[in-house]
Amino acid sequence: MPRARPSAGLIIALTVLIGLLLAALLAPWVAPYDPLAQNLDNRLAGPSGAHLLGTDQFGRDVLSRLIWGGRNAFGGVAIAVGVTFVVGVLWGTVAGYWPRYAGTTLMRLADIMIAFPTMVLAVAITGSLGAGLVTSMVSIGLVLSPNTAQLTRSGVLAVRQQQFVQSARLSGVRTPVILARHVLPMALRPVVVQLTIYTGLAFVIQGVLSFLGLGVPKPAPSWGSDLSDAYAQILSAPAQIVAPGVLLGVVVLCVYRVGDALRDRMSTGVVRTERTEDDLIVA
Amino acid sequence: MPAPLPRRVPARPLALAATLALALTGCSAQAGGGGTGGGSGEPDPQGTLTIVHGSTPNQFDPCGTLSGSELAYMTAIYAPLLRTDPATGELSPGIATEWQTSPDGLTLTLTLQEGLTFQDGTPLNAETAAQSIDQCLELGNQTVPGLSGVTAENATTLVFTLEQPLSGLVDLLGSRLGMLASPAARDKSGASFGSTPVGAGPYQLADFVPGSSVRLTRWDGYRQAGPPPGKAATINVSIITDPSAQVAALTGGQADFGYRLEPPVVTSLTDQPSVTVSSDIGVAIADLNVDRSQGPLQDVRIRQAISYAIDRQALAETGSEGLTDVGAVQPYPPGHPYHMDDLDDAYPHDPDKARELLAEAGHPDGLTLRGVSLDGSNFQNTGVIVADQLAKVGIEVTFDAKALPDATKRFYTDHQYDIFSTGMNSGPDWMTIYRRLLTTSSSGNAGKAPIPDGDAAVEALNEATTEQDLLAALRRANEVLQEQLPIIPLFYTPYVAAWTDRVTGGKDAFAINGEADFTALGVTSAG
Repeated sequence: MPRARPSAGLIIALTVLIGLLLAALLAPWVAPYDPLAQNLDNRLAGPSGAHLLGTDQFGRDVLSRLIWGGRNAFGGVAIAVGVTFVVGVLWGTVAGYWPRYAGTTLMRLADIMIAFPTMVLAVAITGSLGAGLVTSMVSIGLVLSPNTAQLTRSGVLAVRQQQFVQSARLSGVRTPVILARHVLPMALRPVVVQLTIYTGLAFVIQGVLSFLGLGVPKPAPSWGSDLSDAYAQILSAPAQIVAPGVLLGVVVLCVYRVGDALRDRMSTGVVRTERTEDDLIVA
Repeated sequence: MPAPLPRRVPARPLALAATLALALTGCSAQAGGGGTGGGSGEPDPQGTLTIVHGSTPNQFDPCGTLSGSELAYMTAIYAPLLRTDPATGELSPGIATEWQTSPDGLTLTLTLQEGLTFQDGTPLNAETAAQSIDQCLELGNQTVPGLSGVTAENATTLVFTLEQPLSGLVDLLGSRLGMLASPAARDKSGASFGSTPVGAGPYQLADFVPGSSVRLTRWDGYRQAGPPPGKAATINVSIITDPSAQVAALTGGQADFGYRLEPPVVTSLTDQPSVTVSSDIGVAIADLNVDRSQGPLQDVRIRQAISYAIDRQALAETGSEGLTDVGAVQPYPPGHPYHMDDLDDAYPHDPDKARELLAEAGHPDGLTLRGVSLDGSNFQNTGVIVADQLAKVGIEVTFDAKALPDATKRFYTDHQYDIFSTGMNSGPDWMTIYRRLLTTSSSGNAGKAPIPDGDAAVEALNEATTEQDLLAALRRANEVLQEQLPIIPLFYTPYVAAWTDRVTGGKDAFAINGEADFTALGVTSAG
């Protein structure tokens, strides 16, 4: 079946994300000013030729801070999603491949963690680990990992009963090889789609933690903490919140749009897996 | 943006009696679109006053550990031995109607009112007053240097005996130490006394939800012992730290009076009808505490280099959202009786001088410091600006934001940081502040590193018996502070209060230390 052409929305979303990522990577050459350079004589200035998005409460160039802040945003989200993937997949694989005792115990632990509101748990873990980009992102990754584990487990549970896996086991293939070559490639398809949703969620939670002062420490540029600083000026300079707020919102929407497209592309694989499981039940 | 407050606070005539009273008034900037400065009618005795407080009290025991947000409540709950006028700092009778220091300065005798009781019905006389002070000192959060004992000669005569003269003792008694708590109630409540306080003041604590609200009700058994009787039947306080929510509360009818408001609210409230806004610099400063017991800041030249590197005027304007541009190089602001005008030039912004001092100290290429700041946005913002200014002379520092208990432990106990962006309230008890700044044993002295001439300067303060001696000793104390820089003062932080036309006494409730005097406030119609 010929593949459908990507929609305009998807193209726009990808363009925005790639553009922002490139801008962040090339920040030293792209950003017009040093993001930390203060000019206390030019505080809270509106957009102008010299400062396209104006200046903040310390007279720093808002555009430059958003460009540099992209490094912390994308880098931080990569840490969070990476932790979610590694911890969640490991957790779910063990629980799914050895479901009786280990699986039951690990899934009850996941249930307990999921029972707590995501944001509250992220704040609590970050508070205990100490504020900072890495700690806050690791905490986000840990908070999201039980959901990833559940999804992984259900995939592994379905695949481990298939004949080709049982054949490999009977042939004496070692368990790590079975998992790596036969089980996970099929079991992880829905997890990959789920991770795109978590990517968007990680941007939001990262922004919230930085807004609360638990993320990137000042004065380093950060979308969340810059939004927090802008919010503090809402009475005297309400326009300050527009740039970081809109940017964060647009990025999350773009990530979700890409996630939707990825889900659509991979849905065939998911269906095929379910069908195989049905076959197994009949057999 | 509002115009900065005047650089110099107009001074009142110095009201130096035996107590050397403070006299800082007439310095507030008041504004209000339609505000009349408060209600013109008589306060309704059945009225309910609603207040917005911009910071969070933790407990209400004057002998406990304070965060600096509790004094307004304490002055309403406790009757003081001597009353310190909230607006001027002047001492006047409280529970004690008279006080007399012996010629050798070793005895202070107070004559107490007869027939007073605490809010739990137990008697308030010289004996229970002595018990209350003993209990307070035993808790260890307050000290009286050289105090031999506090005794009750009879029901109305309370005697403080000293091993050496202590000129600031009466000021201490007009401050937290003089707020008498019921000894029976303290025995009964133990460690929870801070949330179940029993004093002899005009209001009782009815309810306290930490971080959210406080409710005070007028105590009908109050006999005047300093503060006037409560003018409102109930005071409901909401803790609101968000500036937009503070504005909404004051303009939407949810609050009658607000204090310790965030500086940005001034812009929004100034144009509001029926709201009066008052902003003022007082006796609080933003400062950098330094750890002189370890690391590079043991060298006074580096501390001085930091002080020269800071542009205080720019820092004040930004740190106060444009409300003031008055930098600080001494504890008390211009216009205050204890402010020395000629000491104001001590540390002009001079980056070249800073680099020169760094080179002399063996750091021609600069150095790196470890910084911590309180997690309030004002302290963090101060840290951001200071870090930028220090970077221009070669000093690299980043301030980690920490909550108060964590920051103080890491700085004072664990010595994990060299420099601490924080704040200090200098009044109205001058003795406490100079002891904190200059003595070796001070809890504000990280590592208890002796300050050259510091202990001697405080000793001279203690021994001053005349107005002239005291002013000379204060001058010397300020000079030692500036030479040794155990802290690096930055700027005088402004206070912001606002009230609606329904409020009576709003102007009188604006205290010198940024607190509110609840006993001055009333509302014109029942709430």
